[in-house]
Amino acid sequence: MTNDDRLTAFFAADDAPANDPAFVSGVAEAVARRRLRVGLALSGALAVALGAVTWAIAPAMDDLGGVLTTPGLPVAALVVVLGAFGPQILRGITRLAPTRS
Amino acid sequence: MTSGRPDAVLVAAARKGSDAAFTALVTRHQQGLRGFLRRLCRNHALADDLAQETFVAAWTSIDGLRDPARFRSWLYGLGWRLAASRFRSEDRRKAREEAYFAEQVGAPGLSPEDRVALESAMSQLPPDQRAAVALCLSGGFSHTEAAEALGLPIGTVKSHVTRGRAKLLEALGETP
Repeated sequence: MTNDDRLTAFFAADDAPANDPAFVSGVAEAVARRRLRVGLALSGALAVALGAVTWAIAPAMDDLGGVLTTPGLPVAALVVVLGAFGPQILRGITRLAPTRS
Repeated sequence: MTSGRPDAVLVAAARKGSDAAFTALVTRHQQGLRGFLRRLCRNHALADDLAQETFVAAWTSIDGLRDPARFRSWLYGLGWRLAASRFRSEDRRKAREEAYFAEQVGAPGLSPEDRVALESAMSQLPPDQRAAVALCLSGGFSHTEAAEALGLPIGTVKSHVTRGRAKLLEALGETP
């Protein structure tokens, strides 16, 4: 056995299995956790932004209250619409919606 | 079916959100990356944890990969930087190395004396030299690829590999 053979045997002892479903699953779980954290952070930021917008336009909405029969309805509608479509907009610029292919 | 597609195609699909494509990249590169990190860290459990962190970092920053065809060297570079940041905690590394020595049961085709001598010599190599040795002598990397992954000049990588190999052979009793 040559010294090069010994080196090869030494390095081969550190080889990982060619197929390791447990490791691959572990990575998939870790990626899913990261995706959830990113999603929660984005949702939180969106909620804060919506709150700020609502607070900023509240006086204008109060003025419109005289025109509209239901005070606060435009604000509620805006919050609902942004809440419903905001995540879909964010998914377009992030990878929050994984595909199967 | 994603397993036979080139890295660049899988990277493009992963960027669009395909979990299957990213899983195919993990399946394809896990063995090589873990082997590299195991040789670098001298601790299989720590290396596998780092490999998982590396893949998560790759998923997070895959949009920043400039040349998708060079996914492998980019991935190993991420792993190297994560491992290097761990090495800064030298005391913990030494403790892990001692634990690694204790847990080793031997390498087929290698006497216990040779294994201990090589283990000691490998652990004493500076981290960047050890990384160059791990990539080029057993990871199938060219000097150019290793230089790209480690962020070192190619001449430095060649020097690291030559000197590192000489030190390992010296540990086996070969005179320079």
